[in-house]
Amino acid sequence: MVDLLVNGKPMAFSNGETPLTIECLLQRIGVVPAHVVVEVDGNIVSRQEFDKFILTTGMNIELIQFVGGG
Amino acid sequence: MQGPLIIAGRVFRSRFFVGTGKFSSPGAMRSAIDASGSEMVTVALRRVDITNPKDDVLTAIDQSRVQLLPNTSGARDAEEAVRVARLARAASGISWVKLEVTPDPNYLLPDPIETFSAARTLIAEGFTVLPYINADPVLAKRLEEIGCATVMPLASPIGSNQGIKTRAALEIIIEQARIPVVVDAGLGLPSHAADAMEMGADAVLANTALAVADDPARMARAFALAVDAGREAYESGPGAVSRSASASSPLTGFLTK
Repeated sequence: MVDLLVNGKPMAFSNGETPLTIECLLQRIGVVPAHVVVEVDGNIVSRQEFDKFILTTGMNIELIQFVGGG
Repeated sequence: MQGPLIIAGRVFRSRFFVGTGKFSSPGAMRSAIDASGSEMVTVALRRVDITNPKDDVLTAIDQSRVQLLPNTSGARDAEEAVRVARLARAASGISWVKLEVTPDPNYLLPDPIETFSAARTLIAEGFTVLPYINADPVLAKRLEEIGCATVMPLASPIGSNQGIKTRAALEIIIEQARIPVVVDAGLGLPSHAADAMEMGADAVLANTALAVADDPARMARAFALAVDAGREAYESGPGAVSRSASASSPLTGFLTK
């Protein structure tokens, strides 16, 4: 299991056959990659890296998107 | 023909900018943006609701007609504002940012010290910075000097619909600025927007006034007309204000007693 903090919430993910990438995480949560910016442990990960960046236990993930605002 | 508005080398035909918050639905927001004729709208950044991920607001904005201006709303200090700006740029590829640093949730007044500090950092990182400030003429000049693209002084607190409560200071800012002045926050009626434009503001921004109106698209159109009228008036060279009367009709001569 991979234990992560996602948007402040503890979440656990099974690894499956392949390691858990950001792309996998987004798929499992149901978030469209094109709409979201991802921070891992305070660092922004570029969209091109989503399918390569492997998430491991203890990482702090922020999933952020545009919303209406003034 | 009105002169164009130019911000950071970009030409805008509309002097009315619109915020995208508080609308009852994406459809209402889209109609209001269309009716406003605005060419630049602000958006915010927030955490995705992972229990219920929704389409982001961008799906309802036609970016071929309207430019995005991400804001740093929610930031309480320079560090947070810079972080939000970097996230916005990573998310959108856009390096324009409306810099908002508002530590006090009661009045949402912008912190001048944190705003200046964040502006300096962001300008050094290549951002085009449009800072939201109180109507402080000295701060406005300092931000202009470090390279901000505009200043955005408030008329009254965000969302308050109070209209222009900072008139005297706004007049000074407008007089002294060599970058565009966008009056932002607190404009509740089209007449407020017209007033700002008649004072010589280069543009205005409104959000709440549109979003909370019974008919946001109609209100957006009313605002657009008012911004246009106000600018037209300003460019027409209005007459002076006097204390006493000055007859509009000539003296009669034949009416003597």
